[in-house]
Amino acid sequence: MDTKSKKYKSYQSKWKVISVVLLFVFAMANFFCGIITANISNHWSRGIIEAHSVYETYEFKSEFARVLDEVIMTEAYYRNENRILSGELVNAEELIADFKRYYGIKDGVITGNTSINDNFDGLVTHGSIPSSLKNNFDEYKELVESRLPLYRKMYIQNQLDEYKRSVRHLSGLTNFLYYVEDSRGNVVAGNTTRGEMSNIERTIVLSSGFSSDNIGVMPYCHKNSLMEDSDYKIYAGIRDPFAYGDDFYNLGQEYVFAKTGLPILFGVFTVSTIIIALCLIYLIRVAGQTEKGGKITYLTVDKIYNEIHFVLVCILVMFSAFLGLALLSSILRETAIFWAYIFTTILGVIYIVNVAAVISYITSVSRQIKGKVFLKNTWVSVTIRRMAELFTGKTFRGWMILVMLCYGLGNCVIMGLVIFAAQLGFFILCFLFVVALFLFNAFCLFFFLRALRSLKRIMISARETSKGNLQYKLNLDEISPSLLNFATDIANIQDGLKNSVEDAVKGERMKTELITNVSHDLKTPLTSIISYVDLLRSLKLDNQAAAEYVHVLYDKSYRLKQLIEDLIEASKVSSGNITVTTTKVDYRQITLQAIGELEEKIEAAGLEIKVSCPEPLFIAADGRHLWRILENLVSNAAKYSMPSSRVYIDIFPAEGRGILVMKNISAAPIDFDETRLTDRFVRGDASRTTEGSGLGLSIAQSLAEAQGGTFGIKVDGDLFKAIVSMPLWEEEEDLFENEPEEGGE
Amino acid sequence: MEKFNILVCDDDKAIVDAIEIYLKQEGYNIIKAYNGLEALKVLEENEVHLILLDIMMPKLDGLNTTVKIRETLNIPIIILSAKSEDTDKILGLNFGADDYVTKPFNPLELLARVKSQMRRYTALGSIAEKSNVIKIGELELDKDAKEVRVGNEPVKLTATEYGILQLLMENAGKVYSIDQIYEKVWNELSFAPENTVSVHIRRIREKIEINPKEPRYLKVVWGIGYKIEKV
Repeated sequence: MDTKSKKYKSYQSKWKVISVVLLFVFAMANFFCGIITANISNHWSRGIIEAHSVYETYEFKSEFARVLDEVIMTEAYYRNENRILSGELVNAEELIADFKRYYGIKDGVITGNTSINDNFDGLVTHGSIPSSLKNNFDEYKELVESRLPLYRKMYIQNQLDEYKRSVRHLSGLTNFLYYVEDSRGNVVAGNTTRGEMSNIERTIVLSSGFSSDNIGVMPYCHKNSLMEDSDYKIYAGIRDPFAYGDDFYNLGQEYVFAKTGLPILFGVFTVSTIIIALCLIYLIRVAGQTEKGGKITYLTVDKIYNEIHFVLVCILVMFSAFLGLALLSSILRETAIFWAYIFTTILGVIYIVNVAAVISYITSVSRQIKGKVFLKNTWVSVTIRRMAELFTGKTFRGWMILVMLCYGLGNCVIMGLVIFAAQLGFFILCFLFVVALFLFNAFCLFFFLRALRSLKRIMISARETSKGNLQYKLNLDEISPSLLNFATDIANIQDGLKNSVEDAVKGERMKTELITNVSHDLKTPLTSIISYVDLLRSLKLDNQAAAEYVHVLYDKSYRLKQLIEDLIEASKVSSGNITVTTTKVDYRQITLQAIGELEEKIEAAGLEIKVSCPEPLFIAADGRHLWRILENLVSNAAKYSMPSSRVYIDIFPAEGRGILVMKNISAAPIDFDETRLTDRFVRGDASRTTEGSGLGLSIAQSLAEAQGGTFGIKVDGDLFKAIVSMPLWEEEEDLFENEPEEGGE
Repeated sequence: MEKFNILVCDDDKAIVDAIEIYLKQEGYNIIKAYNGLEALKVLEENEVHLILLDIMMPKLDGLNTTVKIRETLNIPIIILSAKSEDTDKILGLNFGADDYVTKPFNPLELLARVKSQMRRYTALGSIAEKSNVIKIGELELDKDAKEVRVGNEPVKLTATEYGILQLLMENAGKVYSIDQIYEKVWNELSFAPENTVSVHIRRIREKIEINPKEPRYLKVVWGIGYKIEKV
């Protein structure tokens, strides 16, 4: 026991649960690694893996280039507010294109022969305007005259806004350092000095003819073309390391996080993947078993046909993958932290559901492969087997269908041959086929009749069994093969019924024997008790009390004797272990005889018995047993009747039976179910102090039934009614007893 | 007076001792045995006039002992047994026993049965047959003296009881119904179903039978009537 449990420790459900929990925990770990990695890779380009510092990353370079572009625009192009307000920086082409786009004016239709003048407040026409476009032209003209100056102002205002925003932004930078020199070498703008810049290692210089770049941002810089015809020279640099305060600092922080986080994430991912794999292998090994090579316990999920299960899991996984990708992109795009968390949670739930489904499927497959039912438990296999059953005749219906099909097909084929032969003019052949058709049908009819005869035999056999004729045996040799299964089942039922009845009878016999033997063993010591108590009684005892005690002993020992005898009788009678010889008995006579025999008891109880029976009534009964019934009834009345009351006995014929009704008034209230009075050891008084074994009525009932009579008890208040019904004596024996119908021929 | 020897054989010593006390009081001499073999040994060595024998005993059981005894001896054998089935009684009597008493028995009944068997065995032919005396077993009915005796002991009967007994004894073996008895003894037609007859029958039985519940002479044929058994 101990060694066994040790040997199969790994199969304990404790370990299975632990491994499932581990699997889920590490699956979650993988999930979070994935989410975080996805976030990092969304922020950073692949270059971060090779980068030795943040300065080498694409993200830094593009950010630096963006700020540099801003410097170029602000300090080298716009330079100051007045320059913008003067309108010299308005790009006419861009303004007009914007204007046209804004008002939906298409090129070519109207504008082909016209252009806007240099003051941006009118049109210049080249050549004539076709009369068909005159109206359009007028509209356009009015639009330009009324709206374009305003649009230009707006354009300038936009430039001004951009300039102001950039100035504000640039002034807030702490890590990006720059200054601008004019052609004479004077510093005109910037957030640093030449001296400070000379200390900065990572710098870039932009001018019309010359540029130097030791940061590597030139490819990302878009506005450097503006510098080509500029007389300004821009010096820009970046602090190393970053100082707190601007976007560069944040970028640096994120870089550190990503750069240190990635290897950790990778490690965690690798380790947890290995653990997941190990757990999975373990679960596959132990699935469904409690010991090595032990019995497989299947779960409900194993009942799903395997290929359907597989398809369901695939659908789930694919759908989840689709949904997951959508969710992931939402998470990465989502700027609101709250929604990012919600989506992450949903994604996690979907992920866990998938993991659970996959584990469940894999272990299910493992169980079924171990139990060698994997292939059987597929829809294809089950369907094939069903079809096979239908056509191999294993089921009755399938057999019938097959037989019908064969019969129909046979007839069709022969009929077809007959018609074919007739059409070709081979009349002799046609005649032969007609004969064949007859023979075929006769053959089928013969088998059909044979099956019917078998069915009749089975039905007769079943009826005999239901009538209680357990000796009737169905002869299986006479049954046609089509009904053999059914016949075998019926025969088995008959055997089973016979066996169980025999067992019951045997059991009851053994019980009776047991009671008889036990009673015999009780009687031997009781003989001594009775003898010695009697001897004691015959002694002249000086002590008065002793004499009384002996008297009690005397009474009780006889009572014990009576009880034992009743017990034997009751067990004998209830098991049907008695011989019954019915003869012609006068109901009135036997009743009077019984009352005479019991007169002493009746007188002692102070009862008066009134018998009402005008003339002899002959019944078929066993006198000795009927006497016992009457003795028990009258004794019962004597024991339990109200003192000095009357007992009425009515005897009369009714419906082919002789009926005796005895009525007496019970002294104690009968406060329980009348049907229980005939149970063994039930007595009218719950305290059981009165004499009597509680077997009297039970014996009476069994005896009455053994003689083909009935015994009933009715209680109406204190009125106790016993009814003994016996078949009337019939002079002539019925010679034509219904004999069981003989089956077969 | 010569003392009769009675062999009591039972494997239960207490029962043997109790029986000894009863029989000694009646003046019998008791020889005890506790199994069949011992009983046979005692019979070889002593003259025994009656045997009380249990059936279920070690070594040799009562039935086989009876068979062995009957090979040589004709003395009365009364079987004492806890086996109370009819078949057991029939078997015992057929094997050669003269009487069968079931345990637990009433000691006084046993005593009466012993005395009865003893009388039959020892007092054979002591009384001359009289023409007006009907004798069935130990039961005698003297028509002249209008007297009934059981084993030479006179029994007091009422006139009606005597009439019923005479009717039944004169026609021993014939069954009379209550109505027939009533008509013959009372000389009246019976109309009302009375249990007078059956009561009288019971009383007669109490007077002439050793155990009225198991009558030897006056028997009830249930549902048909009464009869005196021919012996």
